[in-house]
Amino acid sequence: MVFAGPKKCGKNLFQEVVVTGILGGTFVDPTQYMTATTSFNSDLFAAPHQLIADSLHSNDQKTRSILENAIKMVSANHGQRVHAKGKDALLRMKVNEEIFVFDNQGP
Amino acid sequence: MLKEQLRVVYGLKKSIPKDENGIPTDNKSEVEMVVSDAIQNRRVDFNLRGLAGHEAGIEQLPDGTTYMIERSGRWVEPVKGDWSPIERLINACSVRVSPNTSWEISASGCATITNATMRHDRRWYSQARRNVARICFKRWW
Repeated sequence: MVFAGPKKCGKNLFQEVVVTGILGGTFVDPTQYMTATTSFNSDLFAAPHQLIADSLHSNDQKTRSILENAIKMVSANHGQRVHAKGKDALLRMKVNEEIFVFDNQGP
Repeated sequence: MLKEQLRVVYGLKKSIPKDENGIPTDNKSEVEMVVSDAIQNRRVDFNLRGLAGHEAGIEQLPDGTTYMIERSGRWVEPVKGDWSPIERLINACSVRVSPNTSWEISASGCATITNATMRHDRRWYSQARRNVARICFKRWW
């Protein structure tokens, strides 16, 4: 789910108070994994709420394309690939997670 | 560290058992026996600090791979009461991405997921999530 709006319209408040609360009170930031900065993602499975808020600074086309594919992969696939440091990756892990992306409204 | 934990918390002995005359009666200590048994019979292929929607324990994939979940998720306890502000907020989450396309489905999907989460019905929650993803992404991409 993507929320876009002008600055200071309450996107962060909504994510921190309502969405995180509804989904159990914990969230993780998958920005590094979803922009291919790291290949390790085992920590992302602990929380049902994956939140990308102000952590995405890069605006180039390549990063956006990587992020698009990552969001699609996490949202549409039934199983995910888990990769922790020093361990073999494990495929087909089923999880119950939601991704929320918050962005300032703009071109 | 594990051996210290077994010794301090569970009171197991680290030294090899001996009889009254100081002659060893076994070649392994209680701690070593427990560790050995764990390695032999209780090993898992993978461990995770937590897994959303799952409780702590050992689970198995269809291919036989076992993994341990160290901590349970935090479940939302449903409490009866007035939730109209949240309801209005969720129902307002309908975004028009173009003049001809509306996103009412995302609002109703969100409400479905919310209801499912609050009802602790993981199977319904999972299905609702898949349905919403399928419909939303068909419109997106």
